[in-house]
Amino acid sequence: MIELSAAATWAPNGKLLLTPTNLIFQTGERVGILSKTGSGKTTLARLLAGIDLPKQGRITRTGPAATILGQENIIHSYMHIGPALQSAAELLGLCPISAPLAAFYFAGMDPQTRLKVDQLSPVQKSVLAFGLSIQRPTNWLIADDRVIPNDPSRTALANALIEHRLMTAGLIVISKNHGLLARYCDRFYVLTSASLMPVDDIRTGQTVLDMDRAA
Amino acid sequence: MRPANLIWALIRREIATRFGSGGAAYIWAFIVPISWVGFGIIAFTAIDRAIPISTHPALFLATGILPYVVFRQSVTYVMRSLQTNRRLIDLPGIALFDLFIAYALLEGLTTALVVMLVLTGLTFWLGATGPDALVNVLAIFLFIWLLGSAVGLILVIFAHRYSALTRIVPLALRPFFWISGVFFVAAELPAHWQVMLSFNPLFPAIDELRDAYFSSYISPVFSAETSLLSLGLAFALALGILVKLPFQNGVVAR
Repeated sequence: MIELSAAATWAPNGKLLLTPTNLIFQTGERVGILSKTGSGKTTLARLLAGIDLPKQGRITRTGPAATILGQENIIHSYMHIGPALQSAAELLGLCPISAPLAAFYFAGMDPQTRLKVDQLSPVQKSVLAFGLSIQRPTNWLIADDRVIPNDPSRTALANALIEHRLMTAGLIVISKNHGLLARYCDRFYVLTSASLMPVDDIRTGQTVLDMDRAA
Repeated sequence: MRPANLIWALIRREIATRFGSGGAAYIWAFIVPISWVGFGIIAFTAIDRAIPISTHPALFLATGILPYVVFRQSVTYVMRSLQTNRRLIDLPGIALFDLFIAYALLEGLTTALVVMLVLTGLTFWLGATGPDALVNVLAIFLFIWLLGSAVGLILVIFAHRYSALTRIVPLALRPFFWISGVFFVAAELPAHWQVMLSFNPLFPAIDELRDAYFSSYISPVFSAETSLLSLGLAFALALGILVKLPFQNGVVAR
């Protein structure tokens, strides 16, 4: 469970990003938050994941800390891929032997490769990071604009891994892409005027967002 | 207490990225203090300055330069720990203090190795006697490492927010090379200068190191109570800044 109790936050320049909000996300829910660009998606993702604290109020979580999907930067660019994955696995609390092997398998790469991380394409790096971070046991997966890596050859396997993980965990996707939210979520909110407004479906959410943009 | 395996993982990651697979960076860690000692000897010879303690000039300079190197390296590396690893802070279970402990320990171990090898090498090479009070010498190096780490911790949040600080601080530390007793001892100075320079905690520490290392020198400025107080104040200031500053959100308070 993630519970927001009068939680509010604002940017360093004083711009309000979240008005005082009371809300509960139950474990196992698939929540989609529709939000336009520049309205605080990343800030909200970091708040919900527990990386940042609200400036006012509280956000409490039960169970292990949430995993933010798509953290490529945990794989250090200056290292060889194998040691970099081992190091990242240790920092994620995973087995440094089996977890990198699983990530190599997911990415379709040879575990014996002598390449350095900075020789990989951004997509290859994101596939490896996804293959590693998805293994971390958690009650919540949080996605900031991207759920799975942008590699068509890995889409089916990545979705299978997500579905497997969602058998025990919840998912919060924050995005401006209503198609992405519709694909993965079944409960929706719109982040508009720094407020989280519940909507029945994603089409209604898009309408609310369009009205806000027009206003 | 932070998990030891997490700290160890951070240290190994830093070793792999800082030193890589080649030995060049390791050698560089030794070249810097040794070259400073060499330049010091050349400068002393050029200006015909006699050293104030009855020992070889290289050993006198090494006992001033090495503690300065320990201080400087501890400040700069601990200060950069967050800036170079800011994404790691986003991972669950990793906090700023884990980075601080990992970087301070790694820098402490690296500089301890440099100090040990340089001083031992010089002692054997020059046929000099070893430290007069080894335990005190180790205690002073420990104090200087902790002081440098505390100053680095004070600066870490500022360096995270204002990246130019990582370039300014090494420049700002340069005057300490000249006012911390690297090239002179307190006993050479008038009393009022001794008092003035003692506001810099590195000065009495380096002077006490010479007191502990050379049997023929007694430091007139060192006070264990004052030094411990300065160390306590530095850590208290660091913790106060980390807890109270408004822009530390998400870095410390987890």
